Amino acid sequence: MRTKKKEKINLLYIFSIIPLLFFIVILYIYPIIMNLYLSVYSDRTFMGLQNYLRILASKEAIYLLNFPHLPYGYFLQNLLWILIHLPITIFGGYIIAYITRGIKGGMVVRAIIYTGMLMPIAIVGLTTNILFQKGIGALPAIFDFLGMKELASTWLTQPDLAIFALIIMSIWSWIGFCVVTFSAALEAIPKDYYDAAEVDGAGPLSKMFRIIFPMVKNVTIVTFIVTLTWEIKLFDLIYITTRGGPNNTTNIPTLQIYLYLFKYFNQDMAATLSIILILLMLPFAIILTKARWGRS
Amino acid sequence: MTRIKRTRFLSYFLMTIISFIMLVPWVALTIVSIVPYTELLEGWWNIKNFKATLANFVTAWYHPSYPLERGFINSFIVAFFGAILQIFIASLAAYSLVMTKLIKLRNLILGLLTILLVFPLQSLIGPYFHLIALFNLQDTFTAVILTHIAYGLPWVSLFMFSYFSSLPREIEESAKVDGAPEWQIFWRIFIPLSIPALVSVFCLQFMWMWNDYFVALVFIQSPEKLVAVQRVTMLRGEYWVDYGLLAAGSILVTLPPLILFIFFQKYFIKGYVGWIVKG
Repeated sequence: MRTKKKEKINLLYIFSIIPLLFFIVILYIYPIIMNLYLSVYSDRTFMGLQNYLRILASKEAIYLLNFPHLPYGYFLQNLLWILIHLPITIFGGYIIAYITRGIKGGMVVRAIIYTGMLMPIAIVGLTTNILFQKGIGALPAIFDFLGMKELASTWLTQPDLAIFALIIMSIWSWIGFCVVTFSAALEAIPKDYYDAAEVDGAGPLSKMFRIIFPMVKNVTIVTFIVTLTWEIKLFDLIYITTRGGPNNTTNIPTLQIYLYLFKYFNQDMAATLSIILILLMLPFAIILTKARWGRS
Repeated sequence: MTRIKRTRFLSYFLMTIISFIMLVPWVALTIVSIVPYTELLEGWWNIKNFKATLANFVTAWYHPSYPLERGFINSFIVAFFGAILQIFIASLAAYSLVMTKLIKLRNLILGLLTILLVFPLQSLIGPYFHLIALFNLQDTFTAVILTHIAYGLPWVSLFMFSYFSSLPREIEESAKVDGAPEWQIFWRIFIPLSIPALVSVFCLQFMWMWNDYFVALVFIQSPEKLVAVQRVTMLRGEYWVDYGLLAAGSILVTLPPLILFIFFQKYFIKGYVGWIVKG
Protein backbone atom coordinates (compact mmCIF):
# COMPACT_ATOMS: atom_id res chain seq x y z
CA MET A 1 0.00 0.00 0.00
CA ARG A 2 2.70 2.40 1.06
CA THR A 3 5.00 1.69 -1.92
CA LYS A 4 2.10 2.15 -4.29
CA LYS A 5 1.44 5.61 -2.92
CA LYS A 6 5.10 6.49 -3.23
CA GLU A 7 5.14 5.45 -6.87
CA LYS A 8 2.05 7.50 -7.54
CA ILE A 9 3.70 10.59 -6.06
CA ASN A 10 6.87 10.11 -8.05
CA LEU A 11 4.79 9.84 -11.18
CA LEU A 12 3.07 13.09 -10.25
CA TYR A 13 6.45 14.82 -9.93
CA ILE A 14 7.49 13.52 -13.31
CA PHE A 15 4.28 14.83 -14.87
CA SER A 16 4.73 18.28 -13.42
CA ILE A 17 8.24 18.59 -14.80
CA ILE A 18 7.17 17.63 -18.31
CA PRO A 19 6.23 21.18 -19.43
CA LEU A 20 9.71 22.38 -18.45
CA LEU A 21 11.39 19.53 -20.29
CA PHE A 22 9.18 20.15 -23.34
CA PHE A 23 10.41 23.75 -23.64
CA ILE A 24 14.02 22.73 -22.96
CA VAL A 25 13.83 20.18 -25.76
CA ILE A 26 12.30 22.47 -28.38
CA LEU A 27 14.54 25.50 -27.75
CA TYR A 28 17.78 23.92 -26.52
CA ILE A 29 18.22 20.20 -27.13
CA TYR A 30 16.68 19.92 -30.58
CA PRO A 31 18.40 23.02 -32.03
CA ILE A 32 21.80 21.95 -30.70
CA ILE A 33 21.48 18.46 -32.21
CA MET A 34 20.11 19.90 -35.46
CA ASN A 35 22.94 22.44 -35.65
CA LEU A 36 25.49 19.66 -35.14
CA TYR A 37 23.89 17.73 -37.97
CA LEU A 38 23.67 20.73 -40.31
CA SER A 39 27.27 21.68 -39.65
CA VAL A 40 28.69 18.38 -40.92
CA TYR A 41 26.09 17.33 -43.51
CA SER A 42 25.22 19.14 -46.69
CA ASP A 43 22.42 17.70 -48.84
CA ARG A 44 22.72 14.45 -46.88
CA THR A 45 26.36 13.97 -47.77
CA PHE A 46 28.91 13.95 -45.00
CA MET A 47 31.19 16.98 -45.24
CA GLY A 48 33.40 16.37 -42.24
CA LEU A 49 34.81 19.51 -40.71
CA GLN A 50 34.90 21.46 -43.97
CA ASN A 51 32.41 24.08 -42.78
CA TYR A 52 34.38 24.61 -39.58
CA LEU A 53 37.59 25.16 -41.51
CA ARG A 54 35.83 27.51 -43.89
CA ILE A 55 34.65 29.65 -41.00
CA LEU A 56 37.95 29.71 -39.16
CA ALA A 57 39.82 30.57 -42.35
CA SER A 58 37.43 33.29 -43.51
CA LYS A 59 38.63 36.85 -43.19
CA GLU A 60 35.33 37.91 -41.66
CA ALA A 61 36.03 35.63 -38.69
CA ILE A 62 39.66 36.40 -37.91
CA TYR A 63 41.66 39.07 -39.69
CA LEU A 64 44.83 40.71 -38.46
CA LEU A 65 46.47 42.06 -41.62
CA ASN A 66 45.23 45.54 -40.85
CA PHE A 67 46.46 45.54 -37.23
CA PRO A 68 46.35 47.80 -35.26
CA HIS A 69 43.48 49.14 -37.35
CA LEU A 70 40.13 47.40 -37.28
CA PRO A 71 38.56 45.09 -38.51
CA TYR A 72 39.92 42.12 -36.56
CA GLY A 73 37.13 39.77 -37.60
CA TYR A 74 34.04 38.93 -35.58
CA PHE A 75 35.72 36.51 -33.17
CA LEU A 76 38.53 38.86 -32.20
CA GLN A 77 36.18 41.85 -32.09
CA ASN A 78 34.04 40.04 -29.55
CA LEU A 79 37.24 39.21 -27.65
CA LEU A 80 38.31 42.87 -27.73
CA TRP A 81 34.87 43.78 -26.43
CA ILE A 82 35.26 41.29 -23.57
CA LEU A 83 38.79 42.43 -22.73
CA ILE A 84 37.62 46.01 -22.25
CA HIS A 85 34.10 45.50 -20.94
CA LEU A 86 34.74 42.67 -18.46
CA PRO A 87 37.45 44.24 -16.25
CA ILE A 88 35.76 47.65 -16.23
CA THR A 89 32.35 46.33 -15.24
CA ILE A 90 33.69 43.80 -12.68
CA PHE A 91 36.22 46.09 -10.96
CA GLY A 92 34.08 49.18 -11.47
CA GLY A 93 31.05 47.39 -10.08
CA TYR A 94 33.06 46.14 -7.11
CA ILE A 95 34.56 49.54 -6.34
CA ILE A 96 31.24 51.36 -6.68
CA ALA A 97 29.55 48.78 -4.45
CA TYR A 98 32.36 49.23 -1.94
CA ILE A 99 32.38 53.02 -1.76
CA THR A 100 28.59 53.39 -1.74
CA ARG A 101 28.24 50.91 1.13
CA GLY A 102 26.87 52.45 4.31
CA ILE A 103 27.50 56.05 3.24
CA LYS A 104 24.98 58.85 3.12
CA GLY A 105 23.66 59.20 -0.43
CA GLY A 106 25.08 55.83 -1.42
CA MET A 107 21.64 54.42 -2.15
CA VAL A 108 20.86 57.36 -4.44
CA VAL A 109 24.05 56.79 -6.43
CA ARG A 110 23.27 53.08 -6.71
CA ALA A 111 19.72 53.82 -7.89
CA ILE A 112 21.09 56.16 -10.58
CA ILE A 113 23.48 53.43 -11.73
CA TYR A 114 20.73 50.79 -11.81
CA THR A 115 18.71 52.87 -14.29
CA GLY A 116 21.17 51.86 -17.01
CA MET A 117 19.96 48.26 -16.75
CA LEU A 118 16.35 49.26 -17.27
CA MET A 119 16.76 50.74 -20.73
CA PRO A 120 16.11 48.22 -23.53
CA ILE A 121 19.46 47.46 -25.10
CA ALA A 122 18.11 48.37 -28.56
CA ILE A 123 17.20 51.78 -27.16
CA VAL A 124 20.72 52.07 -25.75
CA GLY A 125 21.72 51.71 -29.40
CA LEU A 126 19.53 54.63 -30.46
CA THR A 127 21.01 56.67 -27.61
CA THR A 128 24.49 55.82 -28.89
CA ASN A 129 23.45 57.26 -32.24
CA ILE A 130 22.48 60.51 -30.57
CA LEU A 131 25.41 60.82 -28.15
CA PHE A 132 28.13 60.11 -30.69
CA GLN A 133 26.61 62.01 -33.62
CA LYS A 134 28.57 65.00 -34.82
CA GLY A 135 26.49 68.16 -34.55
CA ILE A 136 23.99 66.71 -32.11
CA GLY A 137 25.92 64.51 -29.73
CA ALA A 138 27.86 65.94 -26.81
CA LEU A 139 30.92 63.70 -27.07
CA PRO A 140 32.15 64.78 -30.52
CA ALA A 141 31.54 68.36 -29.40
CA ILE A 142 33.66 67.87 -26.28
CA PHE A 143 36.50 66.40 -28.33
CA ASP A 144 36.16 69.25 -30.82
CA PHE A 145 36.48 71.71 -27.95
CA LEU A 146 39.60 69.86 -26.73
CA GLY A 147 41.05 70.08 -30.23
CA MET A 148 41.08 66.32 -30.84
CA LYS A 149 39.85 66.44 -34.41
CA GLU A 150 39.86 62.67 -35.10
CA LEU A 151 37.54 62.06 -32.16
CA ALA A 152 35.24 64.95 -33.09
CA SER A 153 33.43 63.00 -35.80
CA THR A 154 30.39 60.71 -35.90
CA TRP A 155 31.90 57.69 -34.14
CA LEU A 156 29.60 55.04 -35.56
CA THR A 157 30.68 55.70 -39.13
CA GLN A 158 34.42 55.54 -38.37
CA PRO A 159 35.90 52.02 -38.69
CA ASP A 160 38.37 52.62 -35.88
CA LEU A 161 35.93 54.30 -33.49
CA ALA A 162 32.54 52.61 -33.97
CA ILE A 163 33.20 49.59 -31.74
CA PHE A 164 34.47 51.82 -28.93
CA ALA A 165 31.31 53.92 -28.91
CA LEU A 166 29.35 50.67 -28.59
CA ILE A 167 31.64 49.30 -25.87
CA ILE A 168 31.29 52.49 -23.83
CA MET A 169 27.51 52.32 -24.01
CA SER A 170 27.47 48.60 -23.21
CA ILE A 171 29.48 49.33 -20.06
CA TRP A 172 26.94 52.01 -19.16
CA SER A 173 24.08 49.59 -19.48
CA TRP A 174 25.71 46.62 -17.68
CA ILE A 175 27.69 48.05 -14.77
CA GLY A 176 24.52 48.29 -12.65
CA PHE A 177 24.27 44.51 -12.63
CA CYS A 178 27.76 44.16 -11.16
CA VAL A 179 27.00 46.84 -8.56
CA VAL A 180 23.87 44.92 -7.52
CA THR A 181 25.63 41.60 -7.08
CA PHE A 182 28.70 42.95 -5.32
CA SER A 183 26.57 45.13 -3.04
CA ALA A 184 24.65 42.06 -1.95
CA ALA A 185 27.84 40.10 -1.43
CA LEU A 186 29.42 42.89 0.64
CA GLU A 187 26.32 43.22 2.78
CA ALA A 188 26.47 39.48 3.49
CA ILE A 189 29.92 39.87 5.09
CA PRO A 190 29.65 40.25 8.88
CA LYS A 191 30.54 43.73 10.11
CA ASP A 192 33.22 42.28 12.44
CA TYR A 193 35.45 41.59 9.47
CA TYR A 194 35.56 45.23 8.48
CA ASP A 195 36.24 46.24 12.06
CA ALA A 196 38.98 43.64 12.47
CA ALA A 197 40.64 44.92 9.31
CA GLU A 198 40.38 48.45 10.68
CA VAL A 199 42.09 47.43 13.93
CA ASP A 200 44.85 45.67 12.00
CA GLY A 201 45.57 49.02 10.45
CA ALA A 202 44.83 47.93 6.92
CA GLY A 203 44.57 50.84 4.50
CA PRO A 204 41.40 51.21 2.45
CA LEU A 205 42.99 49.69 -0.65
CA SER A 206 44.55 46.67 1.00
CA LYS A 207 41.37 46.16 3.01
CA MET A 208 39.38 46.20 -0.19
CA PHE A 209 41.56 43.81 -2.17
CA ARG A 210 43.26 41.57 0.41
CA ILE A 211 40.52 41.02 2.94
CA ILE A 212 37.17 41.65 1.32
CA PHE A 213 37.81 40.51 -2.24
CA PRO A 214 38.64 36.88 -1.33
CA MET A 215 35.41 36.70 0.66
CA VAL A 216 33.30 37.46 -2.39
CA LYS A 217 35.17 35.00 -4.61
CA ASN A 218 32.18 32.85 -5.48
CA VAL A 219 30.05 35.87 -6.32
CA THR A 220 32.89 37.17 -8.48
CA ILE A 221 33.08 33.91 -10.44
CA VAL A 222 29.36 33.92 -11.13
CA THR A 223 29.26 37.65 -11.95
CA PHE A 224 32.23 37.12 -14.25
CA ILE A 225 30.50 34.37 -16.20
CA VAL A 226 27.12 36.10 -16.36
CA THR A 227 28.87 39.23 -17.65
CA LEU A 228 30.83 37.21 -20.19
CA THR A 229 27.61 35.56 -21.36
CA TRP A 230 26.03 38.97 -21.77
CA GLU A 231 28.93 40.17 -23.91
CA ILE A 232 28.52 37.16 -26.17
CA LYS A 233 24.76 37.64 -26.40
CA LEU A 234 25.03 41.30 -27.44
CA PHE A 235 23.04 41.58 -30.61
CA ASP A 236 20.37 44.23 -30.28
CA LEU A 237 22.89 47.01 -29.64
CA ILE A 238 24.95 46.30 -32.76
CA TYR A 239 22.03 45.44 -35.01
CA ILE A 240 20.30 48.73 -34.23
CA THR A 241 23.37 50.92 -34.67
CA THR A 242 25.78 49.56 -37.27
CA ARG A 243 24.65 46.04 -38.31
CA GLY A 244 28.28 44.99 -38.06
CA GLY A 245 29.62 47.86 -40.17
CA PRO A 246 31.42 50.01 -41.12
CA ASN A 247 33.60 47.53 -42.99
CA ASN A 248 32.72 44.64 -40.63
CA THR A 249 34.44 46.39 -37.70
CA THR A 250 31.62 45.96 -35.17
CA ASN A 251 30.54 42.46 -36.13
CA ILE A 252 30.44 39.69 -33.50
CA PRO A 253 29.55 35.96 -33.84
CA THR A 254 25.93 36.25 -32.66
CA LEU A 255 25.26 38.95 -35.25
CA GLN A 256 27.02 36.90 -37.92
CA ILE A 257 24.75 33.92 -37.16
CA TYR A 258 21.75 36.17 -37.73
CA LEU A 259 23.22 37.47 -40.98
CA TYR A 260 23.93 33.92 -42.21
CA LEU A 261 20.37 32.89 -41.41
CA PHE A 262 18.27 35.83 -42.48
CA LYS A 263 20.44 37.71 -44.96
CA TYR A 264 22.52 35.10 -46.81
CA PHE A 265 20.09 32.21 -46.14
CA ASN A 266 23.02 29.93 -45.45
CA GLN A 267 21.80 27.54 -42.77
CA ASP A 268 24.88 25.33 -42.77
CA MET A 269 27.27 28.12 -42.00
CA ALA A 270 24.92 29.52 -39.34
CA ALA A 271 24.76 26.07 -37.75
CA THR A 272 28.53 25.67 -37.84
CA LEU A 273 29.14 29.06 -36.24
CA SER A 274 26.48 28.27 -33.62
CA ILE A 275 28.27 25.07 -32.67
CA ILE A 276 31.62 26.84 -32.46
CA LEU A 277 30.08 29.44 -30.17
CA ILE A 278 28.44 26.77 -28.00
CA LEU A 279 31.73 24.89 -27.70
CA LEU A 280 33.51 28.11 -26.73
CA MET A 281 30.94 28.78 -24.01
CA LEU A 282 30.85 25.22 -22.65
CA PRO A 283 33.88 25.50 -20.31
CA PHE A 284 32.29 28.55 -18.67
CA ALA A 285 29.02 26.67 -18.32
CA ILE A 286 30.89 23.97 -16.41
CA ILE A 287 32.67 26.50 -14.18
CA LEU A 288 29.30 28.12 -13.48
CA THR A 289 27.77 24.76 -12.58
CA LYS A 290 30.67 24.02 -10.22
CA ALA A 291 30.47 27.46 -8.58
CA ARG A 292 26.72 27.12 -8.16
CA TRP A 293 26.38 23.50 -7.06
CA GLY A 294 29.97 22.61 -6.17
CA ARG A 295 29.69 22.02 -2.44
CA SER A 296 26.23 20.53 -2.24
CA MET B 1 40.92 60.34 11.77
CA THR B 2 42.23 62.40 8.92
CA ARG B 3 42.73 59.28 6.84
CA ILE B 4 39.12 58.28 7.30
CA LYS B 5 38.06 61.81 6.38
CA ARG B 6 40.22 61.71 3.29
CA THR B 7 38.78 58.38 2.08
CA ARG B 8 35.31 59.72 2.79
CA PHE B 9 36.00 62.77 0.65
CA LEU B 10 37.45 60.60 -2.10
CA SER B 11 34.35 58.36 -1.99
CA TYR B 12 32.03 61.32 -2.39
CA PHE B 13 34.15 62.74 -5.17
CA LEU B 14 34.08 59.45 -7.08
CA MET B 15 30.37 58.98 -6.44
CA THR B 16 29.56 62.43 -7.83
CA ILE B 17 31.57 61.87 -10.99
CA ILE B 18 30.09 58.42 -11.58
CA SER B 19 26.54 59.72 -11.07
CA PHE B 20 27.12 62.50 -13.59
CA ILE B 21 28.50 60.10 -16.19
CA MET B 22 25.64 57.68 -15.66
CA LEU B 23 23.11 60.47 -16.09
CA VAL B 24 24.53 61.80 -19.39
CA PRO B 25 22.47 59.50 -21.68
CA TRP B 26 19.25 60.30 -19.80
CA VAL B 27 19.88 64.04 -19.90
CA ALA B 28 20.76 63.89 -23.59
CA LEU B 29 17.61 61.91 -24.43
CA THR B 30 15.40 64.25 -22.44
CA ILE B 31 16.79 67.43 -23.97
CA VAL B 32 16.79 66.06 -27.53
CA SER B 33 13.16 64.99 -27.09
CA ILE B 34 11.86 68.37 -25.91
CA VAL B 35 13.96 70.84 -27.94
CA PRO B 36 12.68 71.70 -31.44
CA TYR B 37 14.74 70.27 -34.31
CA THR B 38 16.07 73.61 -35.62
CA GLU B 39 17.56 74.47 -32.26
CA LEU B 40 18.88 70.96 -31.86
CA LEU B 41 21.25 71.41 -34.78
CA GLU B 42 23.19 73.94 -32.75
CA GLY B 43 23.77 71.22 -30.16
CA TRP B 44 21.48 70.10 -27.39
CA TRP B 45 23.75 71.59 -24.73
CA ASN B 46 23.10 75.08 -26.13
CA ILE B 47 20.18 76.15 -24.05
CA LYS B 48 20.28 79.92 -24.49
CA ASN B 49 16.88 80.34 -26.15
CA PHE B 50 15.41 77.19 -24.76
CA LYS B 51 11.84 76.39 -25.81
CA ALA B 52 10.44 73.10 -24.59
CA THR B 53 7.76 71.21 -26.47
CA LEU B 54 6.08 67.90 -25.85
CA ALA B 55 5.08 67.55 -29.51
CA ASN B 56 7.53 64.69 -30.08
CA PHE B 57 5.94 62.56 -27.38
CA VAL B 58 2.48 63.06 -28.86
CA THR B 59 3.73 62.29 -32.38
CA ALA B 60 5.51 59.13 -31.23
CA TRP B 61 2.46 57.91 -29.34
CA TYR B 62 0.00 58.53 -32.24
CA HIS B 63 2.52 58.03 -35.07
CA PRO B 64 0.69 57.56 -38.43
CA SER B 65 2.57 54.39 -39.46
CA TYR B 66 4.03 53.01 -36.21
CA PRO B 67 1.90 54.26 -33.31
CA LEU B 68 3.53 53.42 -29.99
CA GLU B 69 0.07 53.19 -28.46
CA ARG B 70 -0.51 49.91 -30.30
CA GLY B 71 3.07 48.77 -29.56
CA PHE B 72 2.51 49.18 -25.85
CA ILE B 73 -0.54 46.91 -26.03
CA ASN B 74 1.42 44.29 -28.02
CA SER B 75 4.43 44.41 -25.73
CA PHE B 76 2.21 44.19 -22.70
CA ILE B 77 0.44 41.09 -24.04
CA VAL B 78 3.76 39.41 -24.77
CA ALA B 79 5.52 40.35 -21.52
CA PHE B 80 2.57 39.82 -19.19
CA PHE B 81 1.36 36.44 -20.44
CA GLY B 82 4.93 35.30 -21.13
CA ALA B 83 6.01 36.03 -17.57
CA ILE B 84 2.91 34.53 -15.93
CA LEU B 85 2.99 31.28 -17.91
CA GLN B 86 6.72 30.95 -17.46
CA ILE B 87 6.45 31.39 -13.69
CA PHE B 88 3.71 28.78 -13.52
CA ILE B 89 5.65 26.17 -15.50
CA ALA B 90 8.87 26.87 -13.62
CA SER B 91 7.24 26.75 -10.17
CA LEU B 92 5.57 23.45 -10.95
CA ALA B 93 8.88 21.98 -12.11
CA ALA B 94 10.82 23.48 -9.19
CA TYR B 95 8.29 22.04 -6.75
CA SER B 96 8.73 18.52 -8.05
CA LEU B 97 12.51 18.94 -8.10
CA VAL B 98 12.45 19.95 -4.45
CA MET B 99 10.08 17.16 -3.40
CA THR B 100 11.37 14.24 -5.43
CA LYS B 101 13.40 11.48 -3.81
CA LEU B 102 15.23 10.73 -7.07
CA ILE B 103 18.21 12.83 -6.04
CA LYS B 104 20.55 11.75 -8.83
CA LEU B 105 18.09 12.54 -11.59
CA ARG B 106 17.28 15.82 -9.88
CA ASN B 107 20.92 16.87 -9.71
CA LEU B 108 21.34 15.95 -13.34
CA ILE B 109 18.45 18.22 -14.33
CA LEU B 110 19.72 21.06 -12.14
CA GLY B 111 23.18 20.77 -13.69
CA LEU B 112 21.73 20.75 -17.19
CA LEU B 113 19.63 23.85 -16.46
CA THR B 114 22.72 25.69 -15.16
CA ILE B 115 24.71 24.81 -18.27
CA LEU B 116 21.91 26.11 -20.50
CA LEU B 117 22.18 29.56 -18.90
CA VAL B 118 25.24 30.50 -20.93
CA PHE B 119 24.05 29.66 -24.45
CA PRO B 120 23.13 32.65 -26.60
CA LEU B 121 19.69 32.50 -28.18
CA GLN B 122 21.23 33.32 -31.56
CA SER B 123 23.07 29.99 -31.57
CA LEU B 124 19.75 28.12 -31.22
CA ILE B 125 17.44 30.22 -33.34
CA GLY B 126 18.03 28.59 -36.76
CA PRO B 127 16.53 25.12 -36.18
CA TYR B 128 14.02 26.57 -33.71
CA PHE B 129 12.82 29.04 -36.34
CA HIS B 130 12.08 26.16 -38.71
CA LEU B 131 10.23 24.32 -35.97
CA ILE B 132 8.04 27.39 -35.44
CA ALA B 133 7.50 27.66 -39.21
CA LEU B 134 6.50 23.99 -39.32
CA PHE B 135 3.63 24.76 -36.96
CA ASN B 136 2.73 27.89 -38.92
CA LEU B 137 3.33 30.17 -36.00
CA GLN B 138 5.47 32.84 -37.68
CA ASP B 139 4.26 36.37 -37.23
CA THR B 140 2.21 35.51 -34.14
CA PHE B 141 2.49 36.61 -30.54
CA THR B 142 2.32 32.91 -29.66
CA ALA B 143 5.72 32.33 -31.26
CA VAL B 144 7.24 35.29 -29.40
CA ILE B 145 5.71 34.26 -26.07
CA LEU B 146 6.78 30.60 -26.47
CA THR B 147 10.33 31.68 -27.28
CA HIS B 148 10.57 33.98 -24.29
CA ILE B 149 9.15 31.31 -21.99
CA ALA B 150 11.52 28.64 -23.26
CA TYR B 151 14.60 30.83 -23.19
CA GLY B 152 14.03 32.12 -19.66
CA LEU B 153 12.88 28.81 -18.14
CA PRO B 154 16.27 27.48 -16.99
CA TRP B 155 16.91 30.63 -14.97
CA VAL B 156 13.40 30.91 -13.51
CA SER B 157 13.31 27.20 -12.60
CA LEU B 158 16.67 27.43 -10.82
CA PHE B 159 15.56 30.57 -9.03
CA MET B 160 12.31 28.99 -7.84
CA PHE B 161 14.14 25.80 -6.88
CA SER B 162 16.51 27.79 -4.66
CA TYR B 163 13.62 29.60 -3.06
CA PHE B 164 11.50 26.49 -2.49
CA SER B 165 14.42 24.64 -0.94
CA SER B 166 14.99 27.53 1.48
CA LEU B 167 11.47 27.08 2.89
CA PRO B 168 11.42 25.10 6.16
CA ARG B 169 10.76 21.39 5.57
CA GLU B 170 8.51 21.13 8.64
CA ILE B 171 5.70 23.00 6.90
CA GLU B 172 5.36 20.51 4.12
CA GLU B 173 5.86 17.53 6.45
CA SER B 174 3.13 18.65 8.81
CA ALA B 175 0.82 19.20 5.85
CA LYS B 176 1.55 15.67 4.67
CA VAL B 177 0.80 14.27 8.09
CA ASP B 178 -2.53 16.07 7.95
CA GLY B 179 -3.17 14.15 4.76
CA ALA B 180 -3.27 17.16 2.43
CA PRO B 181 -3.09 16.11 -1.23
CA GLU B 182 0.02 17.01 -3.19
CA TRP B 183 -1.49 19.76 -5.34
CA GLN B 184 -2.82 21.47 -2.23
CA ILE B 185 0.64 21.55 -0.66
CA PHE B 186 1.88 23.21 -3.83
CA TRP B 187 -1.02 25.59 -4.34
CA ARG B 188 -2.01 26.43 -0.76
CA ILE B 189 1.38 26.33 1.00
CA PHE B 190 4.32 26.74 -1.37
CA ILE B 191 2.87 29.36 -3.69
CA PRO B 192 1.56 31.74 -0.97
CA LEU B 193 4.86 31.45 0.92
CA SER B 194 6.77 32.31 -2.26
CA ILE B 195 5.00 35.55 -3.16
CA PRO B 196 8.18 37.67 -2.72
CA ALA B 197 10.17 35.36 -5.02
CA LEU B 198 7.34 35.27 -7.56
CA VAL B 199 7.17 39.09 -7.60
CA SER B 200 10.96 39.25 -8.16
CA VAL B 201 10.79 36.81 -11.05
CA PHE B 202 7.78 38.52 -12.56
CA CYS B 203 9.46 41.97 -12.43
CA LEU B 204 12.65 40.77 -14.08
CA GLN B 205 11.03 38.57 -16.68
CA PHE B 206 8.45 41.22 -17.55
CA MET B 207 11.27 43.72 -18.01
CA TRP B 208 13.40 41.37 -20.12
CA MET B 209 10.46 40.43 -22.34
CA TRP B 210 9.40 44.05 -22.66
CA ASN B 211 12.95 45.13 -23.48
CA ASP B 212 13.70 42.37 -25.98
CA TYR B 213 14.29 43.22 -29.59
CA PHE B 214 15.83 40.09 -31.10
CA VAL B 215 12.93 37.65 -30.65
CA ALA B 216 10.43 40.13 -32.04
CA LEU B 217 12.77 40.91 -34.94
CA VAL B 218 12.94 37.24 -35.91
CA PHE B 219 9.25 36.40 -35.59
CA ILE B 220 7.15 39.54 -36.13
CA GLN B 221 6.71 41.14 -39.56
CA SER B 222 3.21 42.62 -39.83
CA PRO B 223 3.27 46.34 -39.04
CA GLU B 224 0.29 46.12 -36.66
CA LYS B 225 1.95 43.37 -34.61
CA LEU B 226 5.30 45.12 -34.02
CA VAL B 227 6.17 45.43 -30.34
CA ALA B 228 7.00 48.76 -28.68
CA VAL B 229 10.81 48.58 -28.89
CA GLN B 230 10.61 47.66 -32.59
CA ARG B 231 8.36 50.64 -33.28
CA VAL B 232 10.74 53.09 -31.64
CA THR B 233 13.54 51.94 -33.94
CA MET B 234 11.18 52.55 -36.90
CA LEU B 235 10.68 56.19 -35.93
CA ARG B 236 13.99 57.07 -37.56
CA GLY B 237 12.23 58.63 -40.56
CA GLU B 238 13.00 57.93 -44.18
CA TYR B 239 15.09 60.77 -45.59
CA TRP B 240 16.50 62.32 -42.47
CA VAL B 241 16.77 61.07 -38.93
CA ASP B 242 14.25 62.72 -36.65
CA TYR B 243 16.27 62.57 -33.46
CA GLY B 244 13.64 64.33 -31.38
CA LEU B 245 11.04 61.71 -32.25
CA LEU B 246 13.52 58.88 -31.62
CA ALA B 247 14.44 60.29 -28.23
CA ALA B 248 10.81 60.79 -27.23
CA GLY B 249 9.97 57.22 -28.27
CA SER B 250 13.02 55.92 -26.40
CA ILE B 251 11.92 57.62 -23.20
CA LEU B 252 8.34 56.41 -23.54
CA VAL B 253 9.33 52.79 -24.08
CA THR B 254 11.69 52.83 -21.10
CA LEU B 255 8.98 54.17 -18.79
CA PRO B 256 7.23 50.85 -17.96
CA PRO B 257 10.42 49.11 -16.72
CA LEU B 258 11.41 52.33 -14.94
CA ILE B 259 8.05 52.63 -13.16
CA LEU B 260 8.12 48.93 -12.26
CA PHE B 261 11.61 49.44 -10.85
CA ILE B 262 10.65 52.48 -8.80
CA PHE B 263 7.80 50.59 -7.13
CA PHE B 264 9.50 47.20 -6.78
CA GLN B 265 13.19 48.12 -6.43
CA LYS B 266 13.65 45.67 -3.55
CA TYR B 267 12.28 42.79 -5.60
CA PHE B 268 14.40 43.61 -8.63
CA ILE B 269 17.53 43.48 -6.50
CA LYS B 270 16.47 40.27 -4.74
CA GLY B 271 15.84 38.78 -8.16
CA TYR B 272 19.27 39.69 -9.48
CA VAL B 273 20.97 38.46 -6.34
CA GLY B 274 19.04 35.20 -6.35
CA TRP B 275 21.07 33.75 -9.16
CA ILE B 276 24.37 34.80 -7.62
CA VAL B 277 24.25 34.05 -3.92
CA LYS B 278 23.80 30.39 -3.13
CA GLY B 279 20.29 29.46 -2.04
